[in-house]
Amino acid sequence: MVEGNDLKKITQEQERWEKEYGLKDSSPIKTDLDIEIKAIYTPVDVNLSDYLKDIGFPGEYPFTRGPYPEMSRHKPWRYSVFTGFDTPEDTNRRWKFLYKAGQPSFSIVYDLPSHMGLDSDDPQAEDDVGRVGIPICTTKDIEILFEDLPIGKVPFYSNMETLAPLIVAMYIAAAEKRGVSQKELSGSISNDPLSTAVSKSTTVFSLRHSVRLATDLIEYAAKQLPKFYPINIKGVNMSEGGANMAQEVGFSFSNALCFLNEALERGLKVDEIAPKFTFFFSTTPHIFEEVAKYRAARRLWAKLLRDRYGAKNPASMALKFTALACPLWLQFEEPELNLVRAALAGLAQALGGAQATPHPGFDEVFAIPDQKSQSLALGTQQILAEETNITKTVDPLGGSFYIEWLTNQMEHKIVNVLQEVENQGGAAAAIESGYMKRQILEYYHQVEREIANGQRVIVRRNKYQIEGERDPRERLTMHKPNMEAINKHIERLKSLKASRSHEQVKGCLTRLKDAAREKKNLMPYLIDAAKTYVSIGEMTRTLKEVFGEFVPPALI
Amino acid sequence: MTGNRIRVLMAKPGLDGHELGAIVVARGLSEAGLEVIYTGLHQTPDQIVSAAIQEDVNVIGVSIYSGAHVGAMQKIMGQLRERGMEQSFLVIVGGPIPLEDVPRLKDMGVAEVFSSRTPVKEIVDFIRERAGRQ
Repeated sequence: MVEGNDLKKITQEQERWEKEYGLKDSSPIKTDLDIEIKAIYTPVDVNLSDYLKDIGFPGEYPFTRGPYPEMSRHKPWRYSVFTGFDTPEDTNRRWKFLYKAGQPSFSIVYDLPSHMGLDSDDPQAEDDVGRVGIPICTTKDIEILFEDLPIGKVPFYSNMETLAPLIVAMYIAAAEKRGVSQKELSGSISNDPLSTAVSKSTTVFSLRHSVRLATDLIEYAAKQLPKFYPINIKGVNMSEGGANMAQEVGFSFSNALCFLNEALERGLKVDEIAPKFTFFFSTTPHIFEEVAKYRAARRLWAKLLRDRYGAKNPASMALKFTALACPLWLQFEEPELNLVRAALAGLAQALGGAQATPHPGFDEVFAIPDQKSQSLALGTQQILAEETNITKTVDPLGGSFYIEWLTNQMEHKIVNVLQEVENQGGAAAAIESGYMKRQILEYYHQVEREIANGQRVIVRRNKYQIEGERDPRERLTMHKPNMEAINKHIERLKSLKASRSHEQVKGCLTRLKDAAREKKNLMPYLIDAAKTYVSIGEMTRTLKEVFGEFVPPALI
Repeated sequence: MTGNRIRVLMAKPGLDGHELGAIVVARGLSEAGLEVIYTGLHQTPDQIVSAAIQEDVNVIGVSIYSGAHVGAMQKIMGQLRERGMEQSFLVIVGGPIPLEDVPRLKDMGVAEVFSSRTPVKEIVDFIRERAGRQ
């Protein structure tokens, strides 16, 4: 530790040094959060005498250095690429390729009708089936998705919000059909309808009931799904809506606390529930700020859980997260450069201690990535994990004067955001009033202005453009929807629906509706319905009759 | 002045929730002095056309990110034709539209297709020239 006298000496020397090189006169450099970055950091900026209190050891409170003692020293984080296009059959073929190429988990994106609870044969779904993801209408589609693949054994990550409980019910039903018990199912699912009420607007039911349904899954998983994480708070949705780092983490924490409070009101104990919470953040190529963000988020979450919620179980306090290169940062101009941007974000995620990293395709700003693009994305993660040796010690940037100082600053900024939401009456109120969305848009309009006036450099977009560069869409292979396969999928759904016992389907839906009215946990009813191949559209329509619908606010 | 300003309906059809592009353009057009009405998300073709008539706009701007552009525009242009109003509005589209689909959209009567990277100023100039009351 540096003693008081030495600190004084360092301060004096730094003043001399700044004077000698005229450093005080230079114009201030700031981060996106308006934090001024100095030319150099010294022991004066960080009070390392509080090492045990503020930084400590990985796997122990306050978890600044990581949720697990050894992190990725012996086993890499779970990397993957998001896949989901056209039909379950097409996606299953791509999954087999990725599985053979060493992908240790499956990550899936769904098409918009599935998010909104519309079956593929619904007229309202017509233009969107299989477009930005895979259509899942019944348990049959999950069965096809996992054909010849080890269901349950390989972690299955689902990018699904309001209807997450319906998808998990189908996952359980499909696994049990293959003889795999629900106790063995590993993976996680977003299940965060609050985030989509701020951005993307795939929240289906009224906010209050969406939170309630999400909490049903959390409660059920805490009791019945020991290896499954039932909630993955989607900071990335905030970022895609334009949020800065502090808003991303601060709003995500507010949302997480909203679900946690709902669970506690049901009489659940914080230490049964909190270990089931995970987060999903996004990463820009601002490497040091991102590392500081992740370290600050871990420390703050641990403090909140211990001090505000009285958690005793370390697993309740240890923040675990998935991270994705920020989609807004990927550019249209010379899109191959997105390989570099995503790799830099990947580096920040590894240094920041992510548990899982779905890596984007360089071309996904244009269309669904093809197999080559996904292979490059997977390989990027494999190089980071196994060629660079960055994983051999835990939190390698910890102890850097700059990183420790920046971690403190970042924590402070996140606390402010959290406080603002509490002043608004908590997450649900701050979302319904449009507060979160307005805040995010205000920040993003500033970013757009900075890009337009060149203050924020985006290579090839507003600086270093190449004269006569053709539109990349002229030379990239753009994914085209496989209409023949999509039509076959729709026909199969129709004949599946016709082959079910009408009585059984009706019985499932009546019991589901009654349980929703009686405020019971809906998971057992959803699982029964999934086993009977009741469709996502049928279940959603039934639940809407009790829950009502969410109407997104129109703000510009 | 107000009576003279060009009025634009910014519309998001279908299920697509990617609205940042629509919001940025809407804000940019309004900063450039155009009157902008944003429909919000999840609008049906019928709602969009009705809103355009009710709000007495000159321009319908449709923002689509989800790959549903061909179907969505067929339905919106169909609605306009049904009401005999295909000449009443300047219809423009924005989003990451594959180049080969651009002629298809223009054949339907779409005046221009802007990419996700078109500067807002270019869109403003286009609107002023083609819908120019100002």
